[in-house]
Amino acid sequence: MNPEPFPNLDRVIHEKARLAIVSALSAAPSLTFTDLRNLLGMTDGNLTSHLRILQEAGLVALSKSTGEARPQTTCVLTECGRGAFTEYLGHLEQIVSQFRKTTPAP
Amino acid sequence: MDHNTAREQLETIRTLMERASVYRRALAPVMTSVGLIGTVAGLAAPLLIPDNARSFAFYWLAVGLAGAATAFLLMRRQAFAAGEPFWTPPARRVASALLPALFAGTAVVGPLVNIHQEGAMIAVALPPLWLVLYGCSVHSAGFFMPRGMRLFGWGFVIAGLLSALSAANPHQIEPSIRMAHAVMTVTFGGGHLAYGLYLRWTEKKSSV
Repeated sequence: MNPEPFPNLDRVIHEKARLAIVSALSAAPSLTFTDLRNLLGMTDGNLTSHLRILQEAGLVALSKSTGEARPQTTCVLTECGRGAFTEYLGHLEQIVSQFRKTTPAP
Repeated sequence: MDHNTAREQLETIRTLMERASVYRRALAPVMTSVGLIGTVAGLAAPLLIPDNARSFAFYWLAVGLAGAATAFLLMRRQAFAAGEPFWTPPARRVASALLPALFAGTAVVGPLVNIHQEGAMIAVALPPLWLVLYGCSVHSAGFFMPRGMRLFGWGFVIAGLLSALSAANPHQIEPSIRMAHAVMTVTFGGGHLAYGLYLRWTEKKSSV
C-alpha cells in the first residue's frame, strides 16, 4: 500500500499548529489573538509566526482594532481558508473510508 | 498518511472546533443576568423571608439554582442560534469542573443549619464558605473557558477570605442575617453584574 496516498494534502494546513489554528477558526466567525493563544496553549511568538504563514497563504485574515481600549488583533478564516480546510477534511475522511473499504469487518 | 493518523487528526480537529465554540459563547449576557438575579434577590430578601438561618440558607440556594438555570438556558440558546450542538465534550468538561465545589456548597447547608440554629453563626459561616467554594468552582471551569473566568474565580475566593476575616474581627458590627444578605448581594449579585457589564463594555470596544 502506498504510504502517502494523498501527496496533495495542503502542506500549509497540514502542519500540526497551523491545523489547530485553522480548526479553531473554522468553528468561530472570529477569534482574538489572545483567545486563540489561550485556547491552543501556544506562545505569542509561535502563534504569530504560524499566523503569518497562514496569512501569506491567504487562508487567514488579521485585523487590528484601534479603539480606546487596548489594541486587539482579530483572526478570521478567509473564504479561501475555509475551502482549503474543507478540502483537507475531505482528504482525511477519504483516507479513513478507504481503509474501511479495504479492511474486512471482524 | 495512514488511516490511524487521519482518524486521530479528525478527532483532534473536532475537539478543537468544539472547544472554540465553548470559548466564544458570549458571557456578558450570562453574567449580567445572574448578577441581576443575585442583586434583586438580595435586596428583596429582608422583605420576602423571615430572619432565621434556615430561611437564609435555603433562600440563597434557590437563588443560586435560579442563576444556574438562567446561565444554562442562555448558553443553550446561544448554541442553538449558532446552529451548533450544546452538550459537547468541552461543555461537559466545564460542567464537571463546576460540579464538585458546587455540590459541596449545597451539601454543607443541611448539617450547618441543623448544628447552628442561631442566625448569627450562619451569617458568619455560610457566605465566606460559599464564596470560596464558588470561586474554586469557577476557577476550575476557567481552564476550559476564556482566561478571565479564572481571575473571576480568584475574585470570589479572595472575597470569601476577606468576608471570613471581617466576620472574625471582634471589633466589627454584631453579625446578623441582614449582614449576611448584604454580603451575598454585593459579592454574588454585584460581582456577576460588574463582570457582566465589564464584558459588555469590552466586547463593544473590541467590535469598534
